[in-house]
Amino acid sequence: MGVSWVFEAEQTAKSVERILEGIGAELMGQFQVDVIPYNPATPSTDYATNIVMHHSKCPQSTFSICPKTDFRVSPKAVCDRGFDLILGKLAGGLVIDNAGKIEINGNEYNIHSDWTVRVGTATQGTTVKGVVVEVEYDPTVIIVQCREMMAEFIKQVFNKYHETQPEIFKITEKPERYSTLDTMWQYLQIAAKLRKKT
Amino acid sequence: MESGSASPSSPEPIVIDEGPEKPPSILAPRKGVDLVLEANDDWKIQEIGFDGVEKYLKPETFTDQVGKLARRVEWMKLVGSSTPYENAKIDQTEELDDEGVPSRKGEKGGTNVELVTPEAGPWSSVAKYLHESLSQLNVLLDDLSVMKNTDYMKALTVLDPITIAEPTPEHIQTMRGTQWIWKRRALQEAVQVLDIAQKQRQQALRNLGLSVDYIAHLQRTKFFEELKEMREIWRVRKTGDYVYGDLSYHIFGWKYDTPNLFDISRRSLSNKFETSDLSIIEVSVPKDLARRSMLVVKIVKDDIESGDLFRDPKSNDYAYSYKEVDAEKVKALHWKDSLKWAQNTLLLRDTFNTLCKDAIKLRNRLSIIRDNVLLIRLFDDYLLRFELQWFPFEAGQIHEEGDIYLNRVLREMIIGFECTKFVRPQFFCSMPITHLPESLDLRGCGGFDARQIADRAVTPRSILDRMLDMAAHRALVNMMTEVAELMCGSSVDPTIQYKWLHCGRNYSKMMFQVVSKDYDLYLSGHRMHHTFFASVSSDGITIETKDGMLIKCDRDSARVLYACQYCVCIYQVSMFAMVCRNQWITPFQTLYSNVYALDDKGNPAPNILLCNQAATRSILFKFHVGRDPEILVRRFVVNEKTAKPEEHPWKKLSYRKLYGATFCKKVDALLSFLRDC
Repeated sequence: MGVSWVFEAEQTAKSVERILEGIGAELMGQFQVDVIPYNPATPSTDYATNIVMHHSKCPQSTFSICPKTDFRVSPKAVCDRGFDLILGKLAGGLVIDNAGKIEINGNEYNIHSDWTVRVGTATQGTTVKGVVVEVEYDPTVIIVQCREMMAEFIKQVFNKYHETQPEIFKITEKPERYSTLDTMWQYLQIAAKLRKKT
Repeated sequence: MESGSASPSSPEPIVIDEGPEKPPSILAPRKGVDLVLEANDDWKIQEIGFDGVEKYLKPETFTDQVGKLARRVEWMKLVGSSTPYENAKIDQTEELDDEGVPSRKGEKGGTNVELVTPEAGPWSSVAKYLHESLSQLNVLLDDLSVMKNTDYMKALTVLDPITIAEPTPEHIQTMRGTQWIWKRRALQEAVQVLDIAQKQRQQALRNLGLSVDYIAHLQRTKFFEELKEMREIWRVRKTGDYVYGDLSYHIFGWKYDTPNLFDISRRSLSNKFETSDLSIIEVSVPKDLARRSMLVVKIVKDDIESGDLFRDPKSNDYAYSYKEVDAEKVKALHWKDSLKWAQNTLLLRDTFNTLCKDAIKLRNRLSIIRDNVLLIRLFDDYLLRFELQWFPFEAGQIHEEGDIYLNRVLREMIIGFECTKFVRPQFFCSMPITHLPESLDLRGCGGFDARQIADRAVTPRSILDRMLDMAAHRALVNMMTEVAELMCGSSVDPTIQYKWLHCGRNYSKMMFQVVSKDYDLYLSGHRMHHTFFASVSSDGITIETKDGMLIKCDRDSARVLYACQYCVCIYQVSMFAMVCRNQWITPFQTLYSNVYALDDKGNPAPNILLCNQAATRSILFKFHVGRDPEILVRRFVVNEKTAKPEEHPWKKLSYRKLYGATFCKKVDALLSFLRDC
């Protein structure tokens, strides 16, 4: 459990991996994240789409967020994997949108045991949409403690993506805990952007 | 017949019975044409008889016409072959077509009636017979009425007395013979009946008036009662004619496994109504379980002298052979005993197998298995020994060997393991009502990552693992008790008492209290150094003092003893300080004291330095662990400039030679002696 910063990289996954191996990263294994939208059966104003996500870091959990205008007002939930089966039964109200499903597959690296960097290729169906990088700092779960350090880390390693901090980093003032749902919100935002891309 | 002009060639038609016509007048001279009036429709002549009578073909009347047409109608097609004659239910409103035949409109209308022959019920044959008999009665009645009305008919009885012949004398002779035969037969029957009665009476005499049937009934009842009693403890099942039970002890899992079954049969007791000690139920036990067994646990030391850790292979005490089992002898035992012993054997055999399997899996511990003995390393030189012993399948007391506590603990664990479900089933639990503003924010389980899941997973420890811990703890507890006994027994002054504060399976705590006789009044102040503790875990012993000092002694009994004695030294220091606080009798000032002091060899030696009120004498006490304290006295050096330390050396005093029986008394005496000098 740690604080994660997810961003889209404008380079190939291979080049990112080379950079990481250059700074002494150790390949730990594979990871997979998927973002699946569930649309209401009949389009209506009352019900919005619900996004269901999985992360291989939490193998027994399913994350569900119904994205509204703001992070704080969006209904979010963490559940066990049985949630997907329950949603299957609710096909009358929410229909799975396999076309809009985005999968991010790639490698996971560990740097000096505190940092975990996951580099993955985002694909929607068979088309590759982009490369997504997740940087996780393990020792702390308090955002205000480590956001500056994380920005510095990314600046040092990539020298590019450190300016746009994730929303949760910017809006948190008090020492609040970071949870995996916040990571999934970042993935959700990035997936929405990738879907719009061709 | 056509009317018209009369033709001279054809004979004049003669008309009979038809229509008004003028009678023929042959005489009158006529002028004109002869006219004859005839009907248009004349009946055709069928034939003319020889007497001149003409038979005419009568034309069809309306009835004939209807009949002809009716014959042409195919009634079976209309009505159907299966319908009854009485068609009372036919709809009255059916319209008739031109032929005058009611047409069928089968499916029309809501009042569709299915014409179904009523089923013959179970009473149909009875009805038939009744009907027949009633019709016969009707016939009879008719006959009777006919006979009554006619004069020449007379009813005769069936048995006509006229035909019965009078018995002739020959007949009477033969009748006598037959009578004799009949009488003899009757007598024989009577003899038979009396025979049966005689036999019953004899049996009744034997069985106290109860018949064989009744005894059989009693035995049956007894059998079922005992079977019910058996069912309270054992699982019993019946398949076809076989009644059998299950010896397996599992609560969750397969039951009625073939190797673990026992048969139940009724013992054939004699028909005498005797009360016998034998139960009416006989059970057969599987041959490999037909022995009594015991699982013995012991802690043994592995050294030069322990050559007999394993059983002597030549000894036959615990040897067992399948061929020796006598099934009849097994059946002769009472089922309560034999089933209990057999199940115990099964349980212990399975447990021993599990222990051996677990022992093989434990890589960090060496173990040896031979015959029925499992030896596994406990710690240092000690081994834990499990032995599965067998005894003959007979009643009698079995001598329990080994460490009884460990035997009991093992037994309890075996049963506990059987009763525990190690996989926790999933269930739904209700979440508390949340007052968060984002009421749909179900953070719920939090999304654990793989590492956290692995940390929280419960890994069940095997029986062997737990036994090893418990046995190690047991060994250490025994050692601690020995040390405590040694110390408390040997120490007269001060008096040391010990007691167990907490005794558990894996952790125990002992408390030591040090008391000085006659100086209890001094205890009113701090009691800190008067008690110290020893905590025993599975790994080692730790001596703790009340001020938080922990002395780790692992598994070394000498170290434990040393640590306890060291704590006693600390106590002596504090007692000394307490004694010299007495204002009136022995007022001395404590100048310096250090419980962590070491002597010149580096061993702990608490010391205390005092001086008297007049500042003339100083005393130094050094408490060595396990030895008498060292006492040094000298003139008090007030000013190093005026009095050189070399001129005032420390004088050693012998502790033993001090006046007083106990330490405190000696101290008291010494202080009072040195108070004013």
